[in-house]
Amino acid sequence: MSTTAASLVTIAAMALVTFATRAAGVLFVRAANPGARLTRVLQAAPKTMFVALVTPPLAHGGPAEWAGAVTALAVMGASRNLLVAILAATVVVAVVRLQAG
Amino acid sequence: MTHGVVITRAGLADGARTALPLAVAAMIFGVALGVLAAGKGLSALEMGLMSALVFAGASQVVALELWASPLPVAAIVIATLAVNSRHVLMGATLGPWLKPMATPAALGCCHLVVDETWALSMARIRAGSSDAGFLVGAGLTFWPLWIGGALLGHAFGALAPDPTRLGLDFLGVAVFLCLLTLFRPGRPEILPFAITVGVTLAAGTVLPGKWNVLLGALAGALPAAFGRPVSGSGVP
Repeated sequence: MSTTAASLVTIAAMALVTFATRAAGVLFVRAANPGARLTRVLQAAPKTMFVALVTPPLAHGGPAEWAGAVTALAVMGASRNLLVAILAATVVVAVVRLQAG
Repeated sequence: MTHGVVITRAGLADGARTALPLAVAAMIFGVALGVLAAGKGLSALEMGLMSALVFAGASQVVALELWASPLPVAAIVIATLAVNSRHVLMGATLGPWLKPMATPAALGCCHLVVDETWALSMARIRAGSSDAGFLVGAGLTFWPLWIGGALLGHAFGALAPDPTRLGLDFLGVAVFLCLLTLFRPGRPEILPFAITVGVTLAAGTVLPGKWNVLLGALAGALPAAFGRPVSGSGVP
């Protein structure tokens, strides 16, 4: 487990492309000065990004993930408290997985 | 309308406080990552540098799974890009906070964008906050815990808990679902969301990494270009 030049180069390259992904969108909106249409797209994007992020784990998940999703939404709706909702959902997922063995 | 950069102490504290529970969960994942890294023969220095400089968990897991001797550098870098491509759209949506800043400050802030800090920030922007300190406070809470967790896992691997058994892998999904409800999606969102789900699933069968997440989110958002103006979302 010694540090090697090849590892450091790989890590540096990973850092570089990752930073590029983070900076690209920021630099784009700074340079492009979005008009009305692009502004509407960027306003809609957080919502569709949330949906896109949860789609694969829920589509490829099972009863534990589905029960967790229902719990998260139900508790959030009732309590309006993010922390309570995600804790409840996590406990449900862990318990259902334990039941399933 | 003001164009000044706002980073207040209250914003930093709010971000740190809001992100802390999620950052602790991320730390437990960091521990699991450190265990994986030690098994692959990475040194503690390499683990620490990767977590500090890449700071993107899913891509680090993928990279470590590919880690072998000799190192498949190109494959690792391409996989990293594929997993982290979604950051492009996330950065663009942070425009209301990052646009008024000087470029170096905005670029510094964007290193603190991870799924959770971005999601929490979107909820604050939606609520009308103009205080980018929230993102900075949240990011600076995640960052050291992520690095520390990885180093702990690297050093004391055998004692690590399994995050999946604890259901912690579901935390992100729960956060995204709950924050989505704050945007009060209704009838107008049915079509965009259906497009997003369809494109995300279809693209996921042919593309590697998380290109499907970026494409699905973009495809669902694009119809908004032809819709009526949305009011009160906090985007100038």
